[in-house]
Amino acid sequence: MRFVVVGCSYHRTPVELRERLAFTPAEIPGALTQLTSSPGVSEAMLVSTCNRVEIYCVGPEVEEVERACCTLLTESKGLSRDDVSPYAFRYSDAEALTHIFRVASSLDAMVVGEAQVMGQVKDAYALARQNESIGPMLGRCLDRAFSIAKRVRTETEIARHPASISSVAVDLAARIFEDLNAVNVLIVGAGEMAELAGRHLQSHGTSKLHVVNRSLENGRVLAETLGGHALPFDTLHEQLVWADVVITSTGSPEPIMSKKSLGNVLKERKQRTLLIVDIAVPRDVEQKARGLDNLYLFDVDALQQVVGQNLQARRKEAVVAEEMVVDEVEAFSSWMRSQSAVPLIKELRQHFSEMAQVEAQKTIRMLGLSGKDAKTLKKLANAIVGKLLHGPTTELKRSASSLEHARLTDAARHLFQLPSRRPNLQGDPES
Amino acid sequence: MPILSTITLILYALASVIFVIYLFKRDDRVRKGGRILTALTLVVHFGTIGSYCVRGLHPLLGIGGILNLIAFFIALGYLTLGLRWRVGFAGAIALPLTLALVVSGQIAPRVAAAGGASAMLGKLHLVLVAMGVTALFFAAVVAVAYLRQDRALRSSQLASLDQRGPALTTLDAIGLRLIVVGAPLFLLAVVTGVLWSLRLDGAVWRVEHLLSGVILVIFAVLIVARLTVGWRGRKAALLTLSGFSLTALVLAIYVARRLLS
Repeated sequence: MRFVVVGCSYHRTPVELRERLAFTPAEIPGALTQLTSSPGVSEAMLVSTCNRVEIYCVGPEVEEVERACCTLLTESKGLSRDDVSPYAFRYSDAEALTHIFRVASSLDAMVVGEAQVMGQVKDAYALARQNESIGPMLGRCLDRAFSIAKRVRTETEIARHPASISSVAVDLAARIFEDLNAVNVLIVGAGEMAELAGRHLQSHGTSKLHVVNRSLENGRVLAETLGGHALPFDTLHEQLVWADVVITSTGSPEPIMSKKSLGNVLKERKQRTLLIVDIAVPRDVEQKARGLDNLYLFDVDALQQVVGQNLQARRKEAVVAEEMVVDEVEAFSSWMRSQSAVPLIKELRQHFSEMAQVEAQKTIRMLGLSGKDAKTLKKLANAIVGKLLHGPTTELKRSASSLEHARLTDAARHLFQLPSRRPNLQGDPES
Repeated sequence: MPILSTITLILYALASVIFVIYLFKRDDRVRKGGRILTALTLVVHFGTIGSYCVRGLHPLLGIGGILNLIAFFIALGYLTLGLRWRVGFAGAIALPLTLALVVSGQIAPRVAAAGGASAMLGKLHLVLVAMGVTALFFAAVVAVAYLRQDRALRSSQLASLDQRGPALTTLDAIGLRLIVVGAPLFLLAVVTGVLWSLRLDGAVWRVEHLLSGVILVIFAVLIVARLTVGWRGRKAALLTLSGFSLTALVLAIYVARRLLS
């Protein structure tokens, strides 16, 4: 059996084509049925996200599987082969394995290490399972892919470097305050970025949240969304004394927090540490305030700087993760190759078992055995077959990935007079 | 030198090298290796102290034993801190210092002059010094960690920090707790030390007594200012470091005096 991937991803395919190729969750079961009913496709899974449309298939011949995938991508979307071919990629066997392992481990993601793609592959797998288009080969491959993805996340630091402005804000808060549950959060302004950062903080356990906005009504809307309280803008000073983390993004053309006012705030709060994330442009906090003790001030440029460093750190970790993928591909390919010996082993077992049972039956009749004795004799015959075939079976599996495999297969067929049939070199566990 | 002492020295030297390598390489496997080796070394060190005790040379008999005991507490404290946070950099401070103390402990006499440290007061003084200095040492390590993290945050250079290190406010709180514990122990050590030296040779005004007074003032100011006007963060960390530097100086003068006498 051959493992094949055909698809289009953000690497080479413009978004205009990606959006035309995309499958909605409702369309996927039909697409999977079409694939598995195509000649030469035994297993299939379809991943469709904003960055990629990829079809993972298993079949005896690569060309047949590729043809089925291309037909699905073009015909179901009303596109011609010429529209898709220049942007599509096709991988088979080890290359295809490398691809799926890299995708699941987020190494192929637009932002390396972003876990979202792993969830999307898991969803696609669940959908394909529901649709019964997953067989033993794809099932085992995906299980392996998820296990590698887990290893990459736990054994490397790839996931521990936040790569968006709002997640960096949360990371900063966690580096300053031990327990985010106990942190008081103040959002100044009701902008989209502040809402996003607020949501991120909330998802990390913060529960005490106040919103201060010039328009109390807009403030209330945001506070309700985030499960906090809205307060009038003129309470800003008192709220700064209360808060531990401040996210500010007003549209004010002038700074709304000066060094002097923040100095007073710090005195009133007995120098308790204060983190201010200023994502407004123009900035809401006077830059001179940066020098105040126990005040940590980050503007958009500082946050971008952190994001840049984190992405660099992720790329460094990705090198280690790529090595893990290479090792796993080798191990899985070896397993796939060993499967090519399975049909012959099955034939051998069946051949010898039948022979042993015939002989056992003869002896049973000759000795007039019945019941328990007859059963014991049959068991004995089977056990002898098992013992005799143990060595050849092990040797056939071991040699599956070497050049001598064909010679051994031919020799076994010749010696034991099995019908001649050359197994598929890429593995055929069921045929 | 007994074989166990030699093994302890070699193991501490190896652990120190590993933690210094960690400072430059920042490889987590190196840190873990260092921690395992430190744990093993502590077991051997404990065995060494035990073997001396069996021979009737318990750590409180002389300056050599007390330095060994301080070294043991420091290495143990580092391991304990590391159970909760990734503090590899603290290992790079704690282990070389531990090594230096163990080496000094080997050079220094294990038994004091007759009628000296064997007296009850002397023993009490040495125990208080060991505990107080260890607590203040860790307060200084925490202060260094605070200043390092503060600087990284202010310059937006977070890549230089451990991903799972303690939070800034936690470092501040731990530092205060260590001073609240260490400063009174040090005060009691100073008082018993003065009384002890009075009994031994009638000396009251020694340079280490004067310096100890300054140290106590520094830590008292730190605790009072923290509780009243909320002195914390950078100021508190710098004050802790200056307090501990003087403590180390007092300890060095004390050891030198004992060795010379």
